[in-house]
Amino acid sequence: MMLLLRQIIMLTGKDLRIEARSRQTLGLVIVLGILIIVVLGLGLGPEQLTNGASATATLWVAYLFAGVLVFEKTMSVERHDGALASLLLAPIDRSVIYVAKLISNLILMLILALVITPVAVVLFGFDLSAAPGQFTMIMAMSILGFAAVGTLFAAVVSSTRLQGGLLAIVVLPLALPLVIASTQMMIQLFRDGKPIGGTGLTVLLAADVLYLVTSWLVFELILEP
Amino acid sequence: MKQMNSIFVSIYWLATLALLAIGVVMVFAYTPTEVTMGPVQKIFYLHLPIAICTFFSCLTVFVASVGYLWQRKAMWDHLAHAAAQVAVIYAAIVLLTGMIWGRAAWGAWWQWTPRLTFSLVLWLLYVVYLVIRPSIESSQRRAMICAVYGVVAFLDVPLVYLSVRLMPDIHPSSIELEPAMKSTLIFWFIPVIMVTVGLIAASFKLAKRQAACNITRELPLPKSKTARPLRPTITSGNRGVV
Amino acid sequence: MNSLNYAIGAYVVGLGLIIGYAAWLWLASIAVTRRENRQNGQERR
Repeated sequence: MMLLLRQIIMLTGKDLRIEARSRQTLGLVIVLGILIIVVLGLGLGPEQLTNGASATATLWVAYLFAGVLVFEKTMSVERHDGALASLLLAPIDRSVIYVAKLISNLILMLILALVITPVAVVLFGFDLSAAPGQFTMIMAMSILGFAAVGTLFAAVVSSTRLQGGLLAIVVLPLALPLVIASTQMMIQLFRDGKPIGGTGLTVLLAADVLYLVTSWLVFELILEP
Repeated sequence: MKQMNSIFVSIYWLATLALLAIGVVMVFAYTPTEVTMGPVQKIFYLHLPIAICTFFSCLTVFVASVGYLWQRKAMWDHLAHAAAQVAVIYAAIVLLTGMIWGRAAWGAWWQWTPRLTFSLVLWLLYVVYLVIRPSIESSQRRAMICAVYGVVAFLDVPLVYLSVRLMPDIHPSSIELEPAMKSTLIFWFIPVIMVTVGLIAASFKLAKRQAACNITRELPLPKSKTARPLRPTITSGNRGVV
Repeated sequence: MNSLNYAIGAYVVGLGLIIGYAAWLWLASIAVTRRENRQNGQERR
C-alpha cells in the first residue's frame, strides 16, 4: 500500500515538475478558458448572464474544452523520447499510471477552475453567495468524473496521429450526464432557491464511481507504446 | 449450401416485410383510437418496440466491445460496428417519432423533457462511435478505441437516464391500453425484432466481406456493361464503413 | 395538421429509415460482390 502511494506520488510529481518547468499546458489552457468565457459573455445578453443556470453552462463549456486540452497535453508528454515505453517497462502497475495521470490532470484542472471561475463570476455578475459551498461541491464532483473519463480516453487516443478533435468528440458525449445533472442542480439551487436534493448528488456520485472504476479497469488493457 | 442460405435470407426478409405490412394495417384499421390523445397515439406501436430494440443494439455494441478487448479478434469489431449502425438508425427513429408525437401533442418540435433529451443523448453517444471510425487509420487502433468507447458509452446510458430525471417533466404520459391495443403492441414486437436481428446480421456479414476484400467505402459499380468500373481504392489499412 | 397525419408521417419516417438503411446495405453488398469477383478474376469488362 505504501509502495503504491509512493509510486503514485513519484509519477504525479514527475508530471507536475515537467509542467512547472515547461509551462506549456497551464498558461495556454487558462487563457483558452478565459477566451471562451469572454466569447460567451459577448454573445449572451445581460439578462441571461446573471442567471445561475447560465453560470454553470458557461463554466462547463470552458471546463470541457480547456479540460480536453489539458488531458491531451499531459498524455502527449509521454510521447517524447519514448518515455511511455520506459514507463511501461518499469515495475509499476498500469493502474498506478492511471491514478497518477488522473491526479496530475485533476490538479491542473483545479488550478484552471480556481482561475476561471472567479473570472466568470466577475464578468457575468453571478451571485454565488446563496450557496457557494454547494456550488463548489457540485463542480468538484463533476470535474472529478470528467477527468476520470478524460484521462482514460487521452491514453486510448494518444497513440494515433492526433487528429484534431478526436479526444473532444469521444469525451464530450460521455460527460453529458455530468453536465445535465450539475446544470439541473444549479438551476434548482440558484433560480429556485431549493437546496440540492439527494437524487442529484446520487447521480453525480454514481457517475464518478462508474467512471473511476471503469477507467481504472480498462486502462490496464489499452496502454501500448 | 450457399443457395440454401440465400433462400433462407430471402424468406426471412419477405416474412418480415409481410409482418410489417400486417402491423401497419392493424394499427390504422383494427386498433381503436385512444380517447385522450387521439390518432397520434398510434405512433406508440412503432416507437416502443424500436426503443426496446435500440437498447438491445446498444447492449450488443457493449458485448462486442468487451469481446474485442478480451480476445482482440476482428470479428468482435465488425459486430460492434454493425450493432452501432443499427443503434444509430433506431435511436434516430425513436428521436424523430418522439418529436413528431411532441409536435402533435404540445405544438413544439422540441422540448427539453427527460424523454426527448434522453433520446437525443443516446443518439449522440452512438453517432460518435460511427463518426470517429474513419478518422483512425490503423484498423487495430480503431477497433481498440471504439471498443473502449463502446464499453463506456453503454455504461453511460443508465447515468444519462438518471440525470435527465432531474429535469422538469412537463408531460408525463401513462397510457391505458385496451386489449386490442395490447395485442397490436405485442404483435409489433415480432417484425421489429426480426428487423433488428436481420439488419445487425446483414451489416456484420457485409463488414466481414469488406474486410476480406480490404475495401474502402465505395459506391456500387454502374450497371452499364460499357461503362468503366470505378478505380478500386485499396489503402494500407481498413477504413471503417460508416 | 390533423393528428392522424402526424401518426402516418411518423410511420413513414420510421419505416423509411429502416428500409433506407437496408437498401444501403444491399447496395454495398453488391459492390463487395463485384469487388470479390474482380479479385477472383471472374468478372469480364
